[in-house]
Amino acid sequence: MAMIIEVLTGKHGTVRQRVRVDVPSMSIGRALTNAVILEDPHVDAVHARVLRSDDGQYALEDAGSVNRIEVLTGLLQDRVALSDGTEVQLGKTWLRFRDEDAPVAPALPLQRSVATPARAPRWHERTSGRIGLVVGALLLTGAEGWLGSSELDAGTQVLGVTLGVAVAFILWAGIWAVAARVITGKFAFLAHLAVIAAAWIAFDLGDQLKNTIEFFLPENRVAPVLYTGLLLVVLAALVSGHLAFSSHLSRVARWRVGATVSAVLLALLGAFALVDDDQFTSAAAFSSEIRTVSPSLVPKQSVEEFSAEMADLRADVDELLAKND
Amino acid sequence: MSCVSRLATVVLCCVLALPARAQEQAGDGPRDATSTVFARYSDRILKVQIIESSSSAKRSIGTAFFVSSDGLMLTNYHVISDHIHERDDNRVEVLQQDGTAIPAVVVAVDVVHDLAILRTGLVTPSFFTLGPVALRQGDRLYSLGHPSDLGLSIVEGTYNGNLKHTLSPKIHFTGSINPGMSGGPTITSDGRVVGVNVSTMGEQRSFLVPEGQATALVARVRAPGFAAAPDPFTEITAQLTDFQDSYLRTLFVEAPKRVDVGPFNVVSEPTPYFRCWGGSQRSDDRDKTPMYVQTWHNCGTDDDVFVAGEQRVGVVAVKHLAITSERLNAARFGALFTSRFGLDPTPSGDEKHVTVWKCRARNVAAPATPVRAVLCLRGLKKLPGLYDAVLQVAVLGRSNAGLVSSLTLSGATFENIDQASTRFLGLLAWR
Repeated sequence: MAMIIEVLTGKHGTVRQRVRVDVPSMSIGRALTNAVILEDPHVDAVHARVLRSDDGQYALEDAGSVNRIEVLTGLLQDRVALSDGTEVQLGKTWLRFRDEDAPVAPALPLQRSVATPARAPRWHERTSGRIGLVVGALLLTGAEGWLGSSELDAGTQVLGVTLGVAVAFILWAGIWAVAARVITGKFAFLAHLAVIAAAWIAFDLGDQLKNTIEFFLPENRVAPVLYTGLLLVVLAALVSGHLAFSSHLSRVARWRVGATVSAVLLALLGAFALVDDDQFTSAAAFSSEIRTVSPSLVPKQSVEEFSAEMADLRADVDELLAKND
Repeated sequence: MSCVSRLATVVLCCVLALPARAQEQAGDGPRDATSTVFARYSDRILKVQIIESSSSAKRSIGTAFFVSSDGLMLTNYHVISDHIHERDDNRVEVLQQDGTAIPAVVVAVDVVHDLAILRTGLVTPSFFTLGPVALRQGDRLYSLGHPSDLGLSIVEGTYNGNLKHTLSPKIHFTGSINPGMSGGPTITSDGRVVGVNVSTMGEQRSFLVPEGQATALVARVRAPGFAAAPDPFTEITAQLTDFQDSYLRTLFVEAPKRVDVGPFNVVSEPTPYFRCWGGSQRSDDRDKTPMYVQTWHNCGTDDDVFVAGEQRVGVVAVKHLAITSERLNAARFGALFTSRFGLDPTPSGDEKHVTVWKCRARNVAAPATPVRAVLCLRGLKKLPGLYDAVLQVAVLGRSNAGLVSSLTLSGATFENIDQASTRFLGLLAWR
């Protein structure tokens, strides 16, 4: 059975060089005549020899070196019996000896091979799909800006806003891409751009939906709950999506991180809102959404019902007054 | 207009002086008359000052005058309102001619007409007897007081009748009443009190509380069994409650005047004491057809009631804003309509006096058209049972025209707010 010599970067370090030993005797040292040549001024020209005994056991024997052989315990020795995992120091260089049949860890999957090779990439995994998402998000921003503006020079404004959003996307995705490069070795810039674009579209459509519901059913209790739920999910998906391209975390772990981040963020926002609520203001906040649809489609109250709502409102104000006393 | 008169009242409360206009001298006659009037009546006028307890210095001044031999003095409510609101921090002093300060108590107030009666315990041989005075427009009058703490002064001016557009009567006096003269009398040359100096719009446009209101307040104090209310706010609240009943109960009841504003037909000038102003604006002048046109028609009452430096009530305002567009599509018009409807129509307020606004928004089938209606309500902390309210309504139905109308009431009971709002909803329609 052969033995493998690993030249390490330091004590318990990573491997710099491996040499297979399958001869009865092999020399290690600084001279170029050695089988294992070490670049270390504290190592002798011929420092030590690996010897195989008749029963196949390997040992390392000092060849009369200046600094001898140091083992992990710090003792200096002339002969060391070698087994799998034995580490020694020659000069300042650490060596580790491995059995050739020692088990190795399974290969780490490459990012691109997460999907089984048999399956064709889905639309959002393709470059065209990702570019489509980004373009879609920008078009949506532009269209909304245009529909929201009533000025003559709406076009210029819309262009300005859309470009601003595009720049923000690029900065955001750029930060994630740099982080991804550090951690996984790959930038995946377009993937990060697609993630933020998809989240933007979801936020935006959710907001539109909320406002439209607010017009048809003003001050209903369900829409804000649904909207908060949507925010939580989209925010978690955003974080988890970015992590998919910038970490080795499993899908479950990614969502766990995403959910935590989004919950903490929303809790903070909620706390801010509470603080704000406590402050006196003489400005009034009310639901002002109007949609120009046929009024026959809009659920309406009678004037009497509205009057009853006013009485309700009075009770709210009286509660405030009572608190003041 | 209402903001101008509000400003005028504010000006009177503080001691800062406005540049006084030199009185025109028309020969020797008036000069003689004026000096005679001054000599004859100046001993009936006193300076009032509000002393802030922690600094022991005056925070504001005004004028008062004797109206009885047992020392009742008339002044404006706004002169002593700091004392009413923070009794312990602000005491009232009256300064005699020789400069001695005497503490005074507030016997009664008429917050609606901005009057108050003080007493010090002093008796006086010299006082004005209140009673009706017959006057013609242009009659010469003399106003006395302490402008800007410069010493007792006399100002000549002319009587110009009662204001036409006010809820509570006010005399238009053409003469310079300046800060500090509040609470002083304006008299005829033979010493008859015409009114009490109350406010100014500057440029000699000054206003007096008619003598009749002062007489009524003195009569109340003189009535057998009168006792000063232990909590002045109980009295003030009762007065303001009666006052708002007097004009809100009937508001919009009789078929009010209707006008066309853009493609809408809306209520205007619900009573004679409202005045309306209007205008129209294109969104831009670069193209022949503008993106949209805004037309407004705003009506309001001219006067409001001073309760405290930061608190007025009695405001009634009706505002209409019509938006029309020939160029915007339905979605873009909806966004424009939303932005105009979202503009906060509520008046500001001070935390000492008002709660925060609470609002309700609903889509309502008003009698003539479907609308989006928002009612915002806040309570008045020191005036239990009275509220400020703003009803803001968007008239729905078309994708290229919309109306935002609002009704603002302040210091009103909930009943009156409810009824006026309900009636207002019936007064908005498409043409």
